[in-house]
Amino acid sequence: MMRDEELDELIRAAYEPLTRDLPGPDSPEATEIRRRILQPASRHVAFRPRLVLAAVLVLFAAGAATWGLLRDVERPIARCLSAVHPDADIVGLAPDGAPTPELCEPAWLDGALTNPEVEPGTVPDLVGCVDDGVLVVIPASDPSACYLLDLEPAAEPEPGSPVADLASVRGELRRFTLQYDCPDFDAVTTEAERLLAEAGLSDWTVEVRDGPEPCASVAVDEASSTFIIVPIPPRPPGG
Amino acid sequence: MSEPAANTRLRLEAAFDDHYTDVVAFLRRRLPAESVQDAAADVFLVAWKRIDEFPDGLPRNWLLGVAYRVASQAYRGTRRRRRLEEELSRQRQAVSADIEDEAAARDEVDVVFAAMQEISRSDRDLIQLAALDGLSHAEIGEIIGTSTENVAVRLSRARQRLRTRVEEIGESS
Repeated sequence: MMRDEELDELIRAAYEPLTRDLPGPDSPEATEIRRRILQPASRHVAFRPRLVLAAVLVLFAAGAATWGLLRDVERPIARCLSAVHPDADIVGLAPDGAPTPELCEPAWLDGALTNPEVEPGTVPDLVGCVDDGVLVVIPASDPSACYLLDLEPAAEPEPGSPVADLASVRGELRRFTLQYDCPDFDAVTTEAERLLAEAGLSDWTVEVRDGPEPCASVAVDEASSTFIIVPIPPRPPGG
Repeated sequence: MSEPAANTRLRLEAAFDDHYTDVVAFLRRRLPAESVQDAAADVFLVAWKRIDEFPDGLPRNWLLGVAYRVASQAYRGTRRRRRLEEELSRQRQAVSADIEDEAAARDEVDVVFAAMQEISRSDRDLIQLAALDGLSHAEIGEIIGTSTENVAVRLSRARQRLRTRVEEIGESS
């Protein structure tokens, strides 16, 4: 079997063509980046929530009451952004309870938020940032993306930590099951095992519960480190 | 310009001089050429916002950590990931094809590159950080936010999966 050093040597040779003729620190490319960064005011990019009010009103008219999210406009507003950009479209929410990034999932699923890079009707990875105490949820896979908007990441597990890995698996699995009105038991079980293995969570197991209902859902028993695939009725069409 | 602002600017210039090429190389191994400039700008924008936290200069590995996250951000979404992987492979192939005198050695290397594109992103990230960026397990752990021991275990498994894929591709071609 090929040793690690031999494998690494081949990997370096495989990627070497991509790094020929790289620009140096005095290149026009580097100069352009310097210019972009050092131009006045770029360190404090204005965060322009110009669409918050319109989005809240549109959502309200479009049936946001069914989410139960806009009952009390005095509550702090959470903002869901369509992109990691100061001019992104924004959906404003006034959530019950503590705001979390998951609050924005319905806005993506319903098409209230869209992004050319995100398949319609699916939820991208979401990250919570904080803007003066208000949760701002952006489509990103890493909290450091908050800094691109001059925001601070909301307190979350460190990426790559076991807690973050588990949260990631749960999120991926939730998105997987949301694709189907009646998720298949074998498919959900296989996906759960695959995601756990990929995250290196080797001490977690997947257990399937029998029952009369035909569709699979996922419960998590953290005490026993078990993902439990449980039977549920089919989701109503469009539900 | 005030003295603190001038000092900050000087430190950013120093970070450019010391690490720009490393950051661009890091990004170029992960992103198509046309995406590298914007990604590098994102990295140094974050660096500038955080530069006050590093009075002795921006550490290379910290910048690579930011670059890692910026590149990861670009790979968000399955369709986008596939498109980026295909474009990266195409660009690498275009460069390699120009080097006729290396043709004999290229086959095995091409198989390794193809296998790298086919393993999971998390496996590829770990292998790249170790083999291409020359980072230790501890340094990788700092970048991806996990323990040195966890990196060692995951990297070993990732290399094994890569070897398996290399063998499969080699046998099928």
